[in-house]
Amino acid sequence: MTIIFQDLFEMMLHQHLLGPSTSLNTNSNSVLQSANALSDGVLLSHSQQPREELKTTFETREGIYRVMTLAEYSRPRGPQQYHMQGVLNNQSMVHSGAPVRVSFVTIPKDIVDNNDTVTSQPTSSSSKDEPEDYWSDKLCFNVGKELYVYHYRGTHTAADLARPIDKRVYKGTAPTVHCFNQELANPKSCSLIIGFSTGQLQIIDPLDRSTPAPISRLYNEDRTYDKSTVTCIRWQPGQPNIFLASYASGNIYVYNEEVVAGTTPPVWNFYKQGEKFAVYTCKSKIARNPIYRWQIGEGAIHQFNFSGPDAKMMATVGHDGFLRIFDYHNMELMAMMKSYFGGLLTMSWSPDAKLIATGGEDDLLTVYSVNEKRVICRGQGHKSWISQVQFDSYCCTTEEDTENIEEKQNNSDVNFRPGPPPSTSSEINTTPVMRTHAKRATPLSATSTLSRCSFASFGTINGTSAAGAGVCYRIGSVGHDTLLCLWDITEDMLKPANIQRHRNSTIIAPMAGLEIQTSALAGRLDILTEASPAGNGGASTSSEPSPAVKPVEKPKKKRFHRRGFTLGRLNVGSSGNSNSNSNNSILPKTSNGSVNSSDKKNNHLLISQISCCEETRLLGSRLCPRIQDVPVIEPLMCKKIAHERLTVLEFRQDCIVTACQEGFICTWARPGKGGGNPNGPKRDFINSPGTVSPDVGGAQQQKPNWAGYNVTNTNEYTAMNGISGQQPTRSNSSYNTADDDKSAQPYRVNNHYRWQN
Amino acid sequence: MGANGSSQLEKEITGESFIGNEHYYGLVNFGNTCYCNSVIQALYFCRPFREKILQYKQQLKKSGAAKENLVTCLADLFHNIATQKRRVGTIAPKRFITKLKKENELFDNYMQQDAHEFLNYLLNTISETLIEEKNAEKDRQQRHGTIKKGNITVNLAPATAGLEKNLETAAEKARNETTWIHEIFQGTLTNETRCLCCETVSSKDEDFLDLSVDVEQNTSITHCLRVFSETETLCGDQKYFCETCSSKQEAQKRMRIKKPPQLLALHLKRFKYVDSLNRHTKLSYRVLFPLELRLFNVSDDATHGDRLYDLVAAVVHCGATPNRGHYITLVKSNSFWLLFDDDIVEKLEISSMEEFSGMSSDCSGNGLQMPSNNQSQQQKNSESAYILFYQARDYDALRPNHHATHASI
Repeated sequence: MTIIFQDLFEMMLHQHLLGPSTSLNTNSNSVLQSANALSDGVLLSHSQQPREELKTTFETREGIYRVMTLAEYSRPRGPQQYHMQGVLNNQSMVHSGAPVRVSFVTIPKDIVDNNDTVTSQPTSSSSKDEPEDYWSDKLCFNVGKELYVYHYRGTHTAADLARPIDKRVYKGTAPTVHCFNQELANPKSCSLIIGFSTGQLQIIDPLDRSTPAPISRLYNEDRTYDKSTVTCIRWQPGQPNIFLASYASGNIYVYNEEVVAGTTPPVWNFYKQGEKFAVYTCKSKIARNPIYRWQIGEGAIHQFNFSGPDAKMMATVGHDGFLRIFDYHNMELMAMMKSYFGGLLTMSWSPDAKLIATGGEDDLLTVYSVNEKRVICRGQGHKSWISQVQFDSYCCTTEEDTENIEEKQNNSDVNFRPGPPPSTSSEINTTPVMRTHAKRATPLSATSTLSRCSFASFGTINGTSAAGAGVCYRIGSVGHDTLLCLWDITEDMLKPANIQRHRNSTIIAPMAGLEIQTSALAGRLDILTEASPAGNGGASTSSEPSPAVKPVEKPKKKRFHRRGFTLGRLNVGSSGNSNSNSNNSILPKTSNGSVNSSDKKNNHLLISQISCCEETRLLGSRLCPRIQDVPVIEPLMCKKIAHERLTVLEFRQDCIVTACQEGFICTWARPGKGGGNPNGPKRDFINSPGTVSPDVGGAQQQKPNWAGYNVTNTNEYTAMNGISGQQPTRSNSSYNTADDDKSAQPYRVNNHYRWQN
Repeated sequence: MGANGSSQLEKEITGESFIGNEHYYGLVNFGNTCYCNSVIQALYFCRPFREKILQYKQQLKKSGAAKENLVTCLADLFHNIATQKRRVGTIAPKRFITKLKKENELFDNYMQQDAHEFLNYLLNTISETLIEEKNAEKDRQQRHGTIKKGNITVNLAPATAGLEKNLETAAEKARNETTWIHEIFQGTLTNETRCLCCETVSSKDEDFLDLSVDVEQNTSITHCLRVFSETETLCGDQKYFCETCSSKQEAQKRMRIKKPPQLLALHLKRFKYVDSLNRHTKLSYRVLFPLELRLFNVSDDATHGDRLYDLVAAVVHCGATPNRGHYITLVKSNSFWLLFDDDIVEKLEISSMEEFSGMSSDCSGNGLQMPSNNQSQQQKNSESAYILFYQARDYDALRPNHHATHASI
């Protein structure tokens, strides 16, 4: 079977000329209106229900997220056109077809310079016909049998659906997944791998404008390697020519772009084996693709990803309900976890690669500690299967972050750290793996300030032994229930619950925990000014960037629970909180115990220690604890944000991106973001005419902002915010919002059996 | 078509690394009997049920020709399928259908019937028949005296009692009698009510053969079961009479599963009566069903509360209205899935299971689709699971016991 590519680019442009505002009509609310108008007269339908209106904002502790309705991407057609062209079947295909996926690439700058990069931009881009897009991020998404590549302007300008960089329509097969090669991307070229429902892989370069059009490379063209659907594609971090593709058949194939793609069916040589997985190589005289085949578990592999830029670990989730963590380079199984029931559909590494979040057919979020090889907690809030989980690395405070803070508080009064240096800027907006790297180098400013606040306030609030911990992970999840949920994993939840008493206390006293959390939050803010050594109040001091502070290597980097210790050190630097000792004394044994155990565990990290094969009954074991044996948490925020099932969730620096099966890709500006656009405020009202077109003038107006956006350096960052008249930094503005926002539902531990008490 | 499909399937299953000697037989439709065919197929692939039915057939053979009833017809049909030489083909369940129509006037027409109603009717009829036979057997034993048989000790006591009294107890027994139908399908719900005044919790247990759960758009069956057991507050007119307080009080009530059955039959309430339309409509909501399931809505004192279930069969309703449309069955056999559409049997990719979960409202009712030219599309898309059969995975582990204790029934 061969793929036929049709470039309908021209045709589509023409369509757009018919109605310049059709792209705006594709937003879901417009559909709602036209639907209602029609349904009165035409529809005889039995179960006709008007679409419920979707909220355009949601609120969390750190502030209000707003959907940028003009920044919505979709296939460039209005509903009316659908009708006229009789593409109804096509639309139905979309709903039942492959999940809509979105992938991003950030185009790095040619000249890497810390401070004055912006100046080089106009000159280099002036020769291009799309100057304002030259450096912009690119976005790719698939809907039905179609695939689109667009410039992505984030929260800053509206989506211009009239001008896709690339559009492809496939026959006989549908694109299911795609992935940009971030490491080799530049303004003139970037590789995009596309995987298909029928197993083929295609590499295209949507930025290459040379004529004749470059020939795309195909792998598994004749489906001789695998006939099943491609489920996930990743480039191997640090190896710009190696990519991996997982299949519904349960295989992951490793390809090297520089090696010939064999045309004959591969003959597989056994290479390495472990429990329920095996690695094969291709039997061939010369090196050929695929270079490896990993056969893992039973049934489809739904997703996989690497732990970080070193590709040290690779985790997979699949139909058999197992999360498997491999030592990628040694090809050894390091750890496993089983869903409560049913398949696991999605997984995500925490920025520090210590935790993995999974979601699947049990409707549960499961957080797994890689180091301790145990389930930390389960999250219940979704009403159906979870299709994507993602750590929000911009809202996570990891151990390194908190240690850096301590360090700084000891050394200097500056409590704001610079954004990632330009060298890592290319990795900022890509996959979580990439971000991890950037983050490790210099953890993000917003969250570090947050954690600092909590540290500063620590010990001044009575009885806040567990709340307000420094380490905090933010997880987001979207599902078939059209809900977006956000979850916070706080340090107290990361403590090993070895003792039964501990477990009970976590579960049984949810309300107490809730109150503490809230009061701690408020308390932190009250105390912020006096606790800060800078003494000027958090908001103003933290706006000062400090490029001088560099990431600090800590000797005992991997310690997991040493809050008591941390507090002691913190107090040296900050304005002495005498109560910290009492806090310290509350949990002395836990701290010591866990330090030892986690240190020990780290030594074994690379040693494969799978004992699960002996476990005949999974439930109740470490692989799959009973529901009452681990805390069950509720989401911080849970909101219906689409009419169709959600398939995509991406956290970016200034926004959250979601997509649903209808093919609408939404950008939610983070608190304090998105105001930089003059059109911004208008977007919040659904019922406004919505005819604000993304005209050229508007785009040019934004150019300064735009430039600032693209660079992740804090200088521009601050400047941009200054222009828009927002709070000087995201961190502080968001934090202040949290102060006002008492209604946001804080984290709490849910007692599953609460009713009886 | 049917023959072609079968041979295709035959090819496919012989190509597989195929274990066991399973038979896949389509059932001929005698005019709107797909409600019956679909349920029979599902039950055939509920192994505990099939084994009992085939056992019954064996007993029947031994004990000689019994009076023909629905159970014997079903046993014959199952036996017929299981003993075919070819692995795939079609069979006409003529005797069963004829008997069904004769026994119950409800089904004595060419109208489409509700598959769930039929399932209920069938299970109840089987269990009643079994009890009758058991009682008849007992009566015979008593009448003939207990000398001939070896296992008489229990029966001596009632035998010595007066005949009238004996009949009474028999009737009493019949009501509480359990048969293998109950062993397989019966679970227990516990209805807990907590008085908000005195905090006293009272609970009442009730048995069920299947659970009927309300469906919501874009949810999973897991969620529907959670909602089934959600706490509701009784207030206003619905106040609850608390015996401790001796007065009507506000109370919280909820229903949770105390004893999860071996084979959990879940009926999705997709047919809802709409007052404004004065008829039943179908809720084609997209309700996902995982292939594995554990119950969240079990009571604290539940036995086997977290047992793992595997989906073994699903009866799917196709079409937009309750009265029209079609029933098909999805069935798991060995490691793969099959679709039974009357006489057509096809292999099913596991990835396409999700297509039978229903459709999102926004697809069915966004007003963009013209009813006229889109009827077939809609019809196709409203293939939605209606009855799900989940079998406890520990069933196999329990089997030896099971056989030993209940082989006599």
